[in-house]
This record gives sequence, C-alpha cells and structure tokens, in this order.
Amino acid sequence: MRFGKEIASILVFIPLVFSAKGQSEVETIEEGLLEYIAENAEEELDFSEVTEHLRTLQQNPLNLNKASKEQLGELYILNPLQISHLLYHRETTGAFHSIFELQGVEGFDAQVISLLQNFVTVEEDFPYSDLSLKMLWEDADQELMLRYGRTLDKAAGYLIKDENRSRYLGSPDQWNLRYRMNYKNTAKISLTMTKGAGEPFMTKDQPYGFDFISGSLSMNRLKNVNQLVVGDYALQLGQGLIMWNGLSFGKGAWATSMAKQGVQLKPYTSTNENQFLRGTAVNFSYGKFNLTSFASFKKIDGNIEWVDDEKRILSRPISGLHRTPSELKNRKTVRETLMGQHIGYSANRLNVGATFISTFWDGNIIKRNALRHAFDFEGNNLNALSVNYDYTFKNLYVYGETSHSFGGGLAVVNGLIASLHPSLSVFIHQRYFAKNYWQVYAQGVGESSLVNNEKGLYAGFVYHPSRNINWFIHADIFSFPWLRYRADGPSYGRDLFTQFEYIWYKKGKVSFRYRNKMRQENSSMSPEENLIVDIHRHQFRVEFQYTWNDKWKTRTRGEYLLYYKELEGQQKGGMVYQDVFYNPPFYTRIQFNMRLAHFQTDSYDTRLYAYENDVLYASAFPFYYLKGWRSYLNVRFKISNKLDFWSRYAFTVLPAEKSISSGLNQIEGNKRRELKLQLRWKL
Amino acid sequence: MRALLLLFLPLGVYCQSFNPAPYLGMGNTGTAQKGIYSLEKNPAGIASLSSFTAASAYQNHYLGTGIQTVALFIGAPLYSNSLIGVKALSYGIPNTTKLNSFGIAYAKKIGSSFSSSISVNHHRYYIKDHTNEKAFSADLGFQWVVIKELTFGVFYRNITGSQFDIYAEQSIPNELLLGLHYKVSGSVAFSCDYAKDFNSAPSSVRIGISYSASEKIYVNGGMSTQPQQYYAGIGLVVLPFRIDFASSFHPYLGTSPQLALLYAVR
Repeated sequence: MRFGKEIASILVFIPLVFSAKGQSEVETIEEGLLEYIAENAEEELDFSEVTEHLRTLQQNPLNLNKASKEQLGELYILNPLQISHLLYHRETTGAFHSIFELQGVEGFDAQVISLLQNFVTVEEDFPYSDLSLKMLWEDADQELMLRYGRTLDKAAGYLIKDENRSRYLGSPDQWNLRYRMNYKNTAKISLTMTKGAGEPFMTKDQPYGFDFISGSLSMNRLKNVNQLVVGDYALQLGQGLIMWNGLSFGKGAWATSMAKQGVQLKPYTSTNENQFLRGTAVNFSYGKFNLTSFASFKKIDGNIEWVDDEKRILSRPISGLHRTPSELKNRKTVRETLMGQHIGYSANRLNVGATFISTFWDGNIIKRNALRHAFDFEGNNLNALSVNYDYTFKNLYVYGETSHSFGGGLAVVNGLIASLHPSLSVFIHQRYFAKNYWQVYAQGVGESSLVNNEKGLYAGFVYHPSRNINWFIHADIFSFPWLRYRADGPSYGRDLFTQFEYIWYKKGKVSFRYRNKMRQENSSMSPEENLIVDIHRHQFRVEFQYTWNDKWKTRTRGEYLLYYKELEGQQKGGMVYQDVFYNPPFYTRIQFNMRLAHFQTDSYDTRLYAYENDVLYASAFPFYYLKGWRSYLNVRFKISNKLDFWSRYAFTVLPAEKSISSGLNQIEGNKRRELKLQLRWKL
Repeated sequence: MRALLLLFLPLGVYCQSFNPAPYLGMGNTGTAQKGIYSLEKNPAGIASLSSFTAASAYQNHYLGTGIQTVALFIGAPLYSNSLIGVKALSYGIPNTTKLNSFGIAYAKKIGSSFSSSISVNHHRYYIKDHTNEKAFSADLGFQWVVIKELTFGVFYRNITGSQFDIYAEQSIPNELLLGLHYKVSGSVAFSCDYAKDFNSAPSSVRIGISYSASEKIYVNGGMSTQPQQYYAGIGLVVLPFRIDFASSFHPYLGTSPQLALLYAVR
C-alpha cells in the first residue's frame, strides 16, 4: 500500500496548470500525487480516498479560520512550511476575511492561492449545537453511487470447472456501492460495499453478498471532542513509523511528500481491504495537549494451521482478493485486536507527540523459514512506542519520528525542508529501519514496502525562478543491510530524478523528465551461486499538455526506457500516447475524454506505467508492455441535476500475441476489453 | 597494515577526489567558481583575485584509512589583468606512499567577461622502497561570465596526456570539466559540473548549493554521481580569514572531512 519537492516552488509537481474547472484541477492534483507512487505499488491501489476527499471539499470547502494543521495537510496542496506560516498568521493577526489575505502570508503566491480557492472558504463556521436530525436530513449532502465493471473477455480462471483445481468461484463482474452523507463537514456517514472480479456473490462461498463492507459514523467538534469515529477509521500519526492507514506518499513528484502531514484520525472511505482499523476512535484537546484514543477489533485474512491446540498464523495476505478456494479459505481467519493512545503537544511552532500501540492476534504468528525472514516478528502480541516532532524556525522546517518495537529494533526518520530563497527550496530526509523493526500498519518513506531492513538518505531541491519554470531534482542513496525478496544478500541502490517544466499559466505545460535508478537483485543466470547483480533503469519522458479553448484540452506523452541487468544484457521499452479532453465550461450534458496509446517493450522488466482517467472516484495506473495498442473512452452524461451517468470502455490489443496475461487471468486471443458503468444520485 | 590497504585502495581512484572544502561542500563542483581555491578545479577562476591570497587544506580520506591530503595554494596579481598561482598537493599514507603534485598557473582576464589560464604541473608517485615515478602535465582553463549572476567554466586537465611509467599502477587524470555557477540571489548560489575522465572513470554530474545566512556564515550542500555521494560544508568568515569545514559522505566508504583556511591581504 506504499510505494515503493519563497516556498511555493516546492509544489512544482502539483502542477500550476489547470483549467478554470475544479474537476480537472482535482484530476491534475491526483495525477501529480499518484503517478510516481503507482510505479512502486505492490498491489492494486484505491486512490479514491484522495479524489473523493478533494471533491467533497469542492462541495463543502474547508473553513480557513477553523482548519487544523492536519486538515490543511490533507489538501495535498500546501507544504509544511506554508501550513506553519498560515497558522502562525491566523494566530497572530486573527481570522481571515478573504482568502486573498494569504498573499500577505510568507510562502503564498497567486498560483497557490488560485489553486486553494477551490477547496477552502473563510465563512463562519457552523455551530454544532444547532444541529438536529431534521437539519441533517434536509441540509446534508447525500450521495449514492453504484459502479459496475467487467472485463468482457473471459479469463482462464472462470472457465475451469474441475473443483480440484484453483479457479475463480465468482463472476467477472465488479460491483461497488457507496453511500455518503456529509453535513457541512461536521457529521459524516459513509458506507462502502465492493465485490471484486472473480469473487463470489450471494453464493454458498460468500452468502453475505459483497465481499467487503465498510462503514463509519463521524462526528466533528462535539464540545471538547474534536472528532469521534465509530466504525471503520484511518489513523495517520507522526511520520508513519508506528501507524499510517491509507495512501502514503513517499518519494515522488510532490517534493515535500516525504514530510508526512497526517490527519491523525479520519473516517475510512477506501476500498482497500487491509489498510484501516475497525472500532472506535476519538480525538480531543485539553489546552495545548491533543489526545487520540483508539481501539480496533477486526478479522483479517490469514493462512493458519493448528498444531495441537496452538493456532499458528503462517502468513497474513493483504491483497483483499477472495476469488479462489484457497483465498476464500484464508478469509477472515484471524482476529486482530489493536489498542493505542497518541498524545500530542503544541507550543508556538513546535509539535511533539508520543504514541503507544499494542496489537494482539488470536494465534501465534510464525516466521517463515527462508533466511530473509530470520528477523521477522513471531508471537501473538506486538507493542510499540514512538515519539515524533516537527518544528518551524523562520524558513526551516524540521521533523522526525523514532519508533521502537518491543523485543525488536528501532525505526528512525529525520528531515528538513528549507526555503533558502523565494525561488529555491531544498530538502533532506534520512531514514533508518532496523531489520528487526516490526509494526503492522507502519508506512515510511522508502524503497521497500515495509518499514524494515533499510537505510538511506533522500535529498534534493526545487527551483522555481519564475511563474513559467520549474525544475526539480532529487537523489536517494539507500541500502538493505539484510536479505530481501529477490536479493539473497545485503544490497544497495540509488535513485536519481530530474524534471524540468515550462508552464503557460492556466494554459499548459511542456515537461522533460529523466530518472536513473539502480538496484541490486539476484542474478537469474546463476541462481545456485546467489550472485547479486546491478540493475540499471534509464527513463526519459517528454510530455506536452495544453488547454486550447474553453472546451478542448490535449495531452501528449512520449516515454523511453533503457533497462540493463548485469550478465543479462540490455532491454528497452517505449510508449507514445495522445489524450483528448472535452470539458465545456458551462456544464452541458456530455463530457468526455479519450486516449490512444502505442507501446513496444522488450519484456515485463521494461514495462511503462501511465495514469489513466477513469469514471468519477476511480483512477487507474496500468502498465503497458509487449507490443500493441491501448485505448479508452470515458463519457459523462448528466441525466438531471441530481443524476449523473459515467461509462468507460477500454481495450488493449497485442497483435503478435496469442494470449494476454498469465495464470488464472490469462485471456485467449490478442484483445482485452473492459467496460465500466457508473450511476451517481445526489439526494 | 597500511601496506595492505594499498592492495584495496588504488590511489588513482581517490587522488582525483581532492577538492578544497568550499567547493567540496557544494557537491564537489568548482569549475565555474572564482577564488584561490580555483587553482585545483579551474585556475581561470583566480583571475578574480585582487590581492595576495594564500590558503591551505587538510583532508582525511575515508576516516580511519590513514589516507590524507595536505594542500597549499598561493595566488597573487602580477600586473594588469594577469595573475599567478602556485599549488602544492601531497596525497597518500604518511611514511608509506605519496602522490605529490606541484603546479604553477598563469591566469589572465580578457575583457570583462572572459578569463583563461594555463598551468604546468609536476607529479611524483612514490611508494617506499618500491616506486618513484615522475611526470609533467599541463592544463587549460576558461571562464565566461555570461551575465553578472551566471558563469560558465571549462577546464581541461592534463592536455598533454601525460602518464607515469606503465609500471606504476597510477594515472594522472586526463579530465574534461564543464561547469556553471549561478547566483540565485545575494545569499543563494547554485553550481553544477560535468566531469569526464578519459582514462577510465565514467562521467560524473555534480550539483551543489551554497546558502549564506549572513556574510559571515556559509552553508553548503550537494551531491554527485560517480561516485554517488552527498556533500556538506560550512564556511566562517573572520576577516581577513575564511575557515571552511566540509566532507563527502560515501554510503559505504564513509566520510572524508576536510579543513581549509584562507588568508587574503586586505
């Protein structure tokens, strides 16, 4: 779930290219945030927690006079220095009367303010004490959304009838039902139900219908209580070393994303079946102290075995996929209980915090035999304690967290962001994750998917000399002191990234990107020798996007990848695509966007990722590989003021292939076609 | 023990890494920078000196290995627009091995935007009771001030292609350096170098930033490829002196701290 830059300049890749329409701004932010991380994702991601949150704020903007540090962080627009300056300005000069007062706050310029305008307001806050059930029903924004998706070509897993073989027990249909109620950002109810492709629905294998059901009730600003959530919730504490649910933006196009700005507590709305807590959590304040208490009781997936009376947990799958008999056999077999407390203290521009978390399982977790698992956790109870801090001094922001898992090791991060000049910002981020540091819901900034067995230094700068030019460069040097997956020895690597952008304000941009990454991995040429070799990736990208008029926008990209693995030689991959967007300013009944892409790669190792627009709240980051074409068409049709309909048709053609994908997902023929339909009713 | 180290640390790889502390801290750049320390990275940069200046530096390479560099730089205006500089470098493990370089550079301003230099160096490679090799080399350097804030530099080290006798496992760098130095503001400067050693090493890109919190304190940082490592440094100005402390941080070989002291006649 994790992936593995005067101050406004830091925001370079939340590009300052956007049309006057909020929707496309959200998509632009989303793409800037997500593009980089998706390449390192180890499972399919649900980005809706970001897109849904930003779109909700468009409807119910955040009150700048009441917004907390955490809420401002969740806008994904402001860096920690800007937030600190904004809060300090509000504290010393009083409430804002207009958002344009931000021009007088250090680090804010017209571009950032223009972007912020979509998500914040300075209106009087709603007094919670006036709330009644009648008002809730009449004034609350309610939304019901149903999505259907299906790959039209049947995969091998659906065709197998032999009950002794692994096969998909359900249909290829995907269903997603969401209900949201939001009363002026003070009371929220959310319900999410999903059925993935291949998962059974209302059959003997899954008699309860949807495979994943998640819901929550959230109340804000109840006297001393800042927030109370009952049901499913997400916690984001400190720098994520002890607890971070939801998307974690690590290294990437958003330069300051390694300085995490967690919301602490929020209701869970995503469809990821693992990265959340289930129970009750409450956040309240006493003067300069802030407390978050939480308890979670949920059943998780586990591959278990019984030895005498001992329940042994051999693995804990986190994919959330329950399609085959073996996946279903592991479904919700382990009871996980988690309790904890976070205490925060804020004084002037210093924030410090401490968190204790205790996790119990109803069986003993057994580490696997392979040598790379030698330092893994074993047992049925895991306790961890962490301390975190952040401090702003003039144009310097420092932050960090140190966490210790009892019986294990330490995880430490420290970093700084310095605005040396209005046009130049630098950042440094250090990390050390011991090979015996364990925490279930930890997510840090790093190369691997675990906060474990890694150390590194990530540094770079952002140069924004004018409204038109952005230049970002970063380097990360890292090592893995112990063995890891596909590396039977200590290994190391580096990641260099630079991107130059020329921007036509509010019109378009052209960008050039180069990324060079080196990692070490086992050689497949001599597996018996456990030889570790270097893998080099050189990635070049050129992109041009332009808003031609109030209706039409285009985006063109070309990308080329050189891949070299010692002893095994060089491979290459390339891709070009053209996107067209039709978004009339005064909303007419129809909007659409489409893509035509051509790609050619030597192998899976030279696969290329690209963001794809999708139906509302959905987004995709498929990889393109082998030789072929991919195209999609998204259409939005406004049936009435309250009713909207989306459809998506996408296809991939690999002319030289006889089948697509492998294993149970293998499709005979050289085509794969996907259909998605979505209906949203605003009550 | 020190003799054993020689087996693992081919000096040729490391002797090229010396760069005076103010430039080292800025990501091992310096080709487009000015001042007495330019004697090492591009002597055309000493053309900016307005008075007699002397500097010395001491660096411990990869702490604990015993490898060190001692350096001395002297620069003085001769007559209108012409300057002369002298450098002396001694690199190695004391009482065991030395790679000594002694160079004389002549630099000249050409108009208000250009400066150039030519330098001649004598190198001596010495391993106790084993090797005593000597060679001469010559270097050529240019700097172009495009605008007040932006300077380009080109330096060709060892245009003569000189080398020690083939018997010595040591090479004199045969290196092309291209650099730019940009003053973002009065307090922030940015430097970028590209280096290509034609002897063997892959080309390297180096980037550095210098920030002056006040006229008396400078903080530098940078990074480079080949070797991939970070750099940091701090400079204190106590007129007529400037003291610099900087280090490279190699992820596996460790830190190489350096102290440099500059004196300029006011």
